[in-house]
Amino acid sequence: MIAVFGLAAVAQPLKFVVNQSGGILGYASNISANDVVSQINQQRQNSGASALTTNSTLNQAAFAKAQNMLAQQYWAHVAPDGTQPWFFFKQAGYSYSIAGENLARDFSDTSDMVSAWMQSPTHKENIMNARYRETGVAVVNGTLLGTETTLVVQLFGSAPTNTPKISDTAKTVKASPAPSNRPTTKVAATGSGAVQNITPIPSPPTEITVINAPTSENSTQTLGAEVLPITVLSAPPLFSPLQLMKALFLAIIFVLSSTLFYDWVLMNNSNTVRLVGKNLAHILLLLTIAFLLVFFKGGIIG
Amino acid sequence: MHREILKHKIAYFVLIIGLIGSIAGFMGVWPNPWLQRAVIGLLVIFYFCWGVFVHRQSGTLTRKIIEEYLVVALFAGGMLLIITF
Repeated sequence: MIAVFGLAAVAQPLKFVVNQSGGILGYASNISANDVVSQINQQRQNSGASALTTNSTLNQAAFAKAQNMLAQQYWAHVAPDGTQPWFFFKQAGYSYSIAGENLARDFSDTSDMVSAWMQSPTHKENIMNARYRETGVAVVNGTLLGTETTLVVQLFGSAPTNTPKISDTAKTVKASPAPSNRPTTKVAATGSGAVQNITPIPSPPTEITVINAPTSENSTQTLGAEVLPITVLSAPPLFSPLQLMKALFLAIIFVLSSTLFYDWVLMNNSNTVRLVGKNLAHILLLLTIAFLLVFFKGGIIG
Repeated sequence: MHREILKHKIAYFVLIIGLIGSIAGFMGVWPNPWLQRAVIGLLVIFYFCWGVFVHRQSGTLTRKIIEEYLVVALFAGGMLLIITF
């Protein structure tokens, strides 16, 4: 039985190739961007909210965020250098009236990941927010803090209605006072159970000017993407470190349980009395651990 | 096997309930890793106490048995603990 558990744990499909466009992605996972959007929309529709549409610009922004996390080796909404989440919206050229970000890593299955988000009030709030109209998802593999992992970045946004043309906007913005209805960015705070309101965001017209200006930031991003340690999985590894560790533990449990069972049968048949612990209890405990190793799906959300 | 289980049926019933409760707790508190570690800690304590209590009731409690249960409980808990990181 333990051997069956072991095989089940390590036999998950793993051979996928990284790309940005929403196909099957992921190292040690079968998460795909399309599945993420599909399942998020299913959750929204169950609660009566409209489905999100995939926006290619938001996809790029999500990908840039994932790349940034791998390049700077951090796992947070705000980078160590202070880069805020909406920087990536701007960099990709997406203007918004409201925006949000959900993060996840180490998941091997889309359903588990979406389920984890739905169990977190702050992430759920992002998913269910009826004001969001569009989404972008990136599933990127790489080494984060010494561990090979799959990062998932989902960005939410809603473009401002009646977006003016850029050339006209620049003039308008400079002349007009700041609007009272400022856009907000909501970020699901890791584990805190609270929505973190990030520092004030410039008004939409100002953003449009900044986004489309040929600034040095855009150039930097382009250069940075060339040196990021993203794993392009032309020949992906068969197993993730977590799966290998689970397989090792299951093997140890199998050996220990077999030994305990054999010892127990032997002592019963020879009617030998020993003052030792109860082998059956040990076996039950080890089977419990084996069960959890097989059926527990790890993963962290942020 | 049957003789052993029938002889300590209440003890094994409690053990199985505790183990099932641990599985439910570990799965139930996910994705909070700290609560998962708390569940692991409770499992380790529960198993150790169960072993000591059962052997004490049957008058077979020795230092080696206490050490055996401690080692097995910590070993099992350690394996689970690692996968929560």
